[in-house]
Amino acid sequence: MGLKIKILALMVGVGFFFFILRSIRGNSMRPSYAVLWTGISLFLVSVSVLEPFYHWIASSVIGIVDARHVIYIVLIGFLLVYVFYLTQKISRMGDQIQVLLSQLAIVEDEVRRKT
Amino acid sequence: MKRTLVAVIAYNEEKNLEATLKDLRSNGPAGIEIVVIDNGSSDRTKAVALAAGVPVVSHCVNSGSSMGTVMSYFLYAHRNKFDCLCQFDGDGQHVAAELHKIIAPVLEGRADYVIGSRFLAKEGFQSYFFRRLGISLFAFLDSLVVGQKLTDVTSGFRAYSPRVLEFFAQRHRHELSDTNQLLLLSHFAGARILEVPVVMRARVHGVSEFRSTAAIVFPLKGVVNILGCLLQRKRIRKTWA
Repeated sequence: MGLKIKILALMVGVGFFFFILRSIRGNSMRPSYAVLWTGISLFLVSVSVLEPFYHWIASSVIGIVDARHVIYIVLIGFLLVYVFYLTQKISRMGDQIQVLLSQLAIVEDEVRRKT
Repeated sequence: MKRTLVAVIAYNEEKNLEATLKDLRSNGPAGIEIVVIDNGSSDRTKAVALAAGVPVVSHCVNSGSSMGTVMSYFLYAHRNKFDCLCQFDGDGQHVAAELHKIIAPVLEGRADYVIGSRFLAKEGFQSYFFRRLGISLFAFLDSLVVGQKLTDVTSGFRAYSPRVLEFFAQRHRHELSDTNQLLLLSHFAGARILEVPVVMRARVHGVSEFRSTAAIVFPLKGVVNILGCLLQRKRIRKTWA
């Protein structure tokens, strides 16, 4: 990996990391989700810092000559799993919102008729 | 005395609702109770219903298609312990004088899920060509799954027994996407399905929620929902048992 690319990856990783910290401070992201994204930002940082280690994992452990492919596989795999998880979460929330919406409307009608 | 609830579902029906409620009061079966389920209308639908002196369950936001109102009327009917629940569209398509045809099988204990079909007697409004095409496809698939001939599976003119109410209000509290899902889940839950011939009218004011773009999405969504229900079959049967 060239020096310029390494510096760019490092900057993106560090920038992403601070962006996540800001999101936690501003309460716009739950800490449990933030842990996950912090892991991703640290992974981005590590790509430039621990390049030889990833090369070793790719060639000796997994048996892939080009380490970049491992990074793509890891990131795409993570995103697929995460999108699946979010889809499940949205479905559950859709059910909950529907029940809440109905219950609220029923209770509102009962209150209206009592007053 | 057995109690029957007629849930009038409405979304932006300020022009049709008054006549619908008048029809129900004048020509509907004696002793029925009415509730209007307003799906977050942006017009005066809620005000019209309140002025008519009927209970109004009004969503604070629109929950998408008319299926969003289904959970509300199941919860309402179950909470108030009704013996029969009917869905009645607020757009004026349904005829109050026909209500007894879908109520009687439920109150007599002959069926749990009664569909008022406009295609059995082939009288009155028969819907638009593309809609009919979609309904035929669903009727074919649903008939295969249920094991009995069904013709108007997407009909909004339906009646449910307390058994179905209990199932959707207590055991299966999930968002429902279309009538195929409602029908098949009820079937898997052990409901006895019955279709009776009814007459319907064309709506007087406003437009249907089924637009031209829905001609493509509607069948696809329906087929996906049918497949989804088939996957849930075993779990539903266990839930009911």
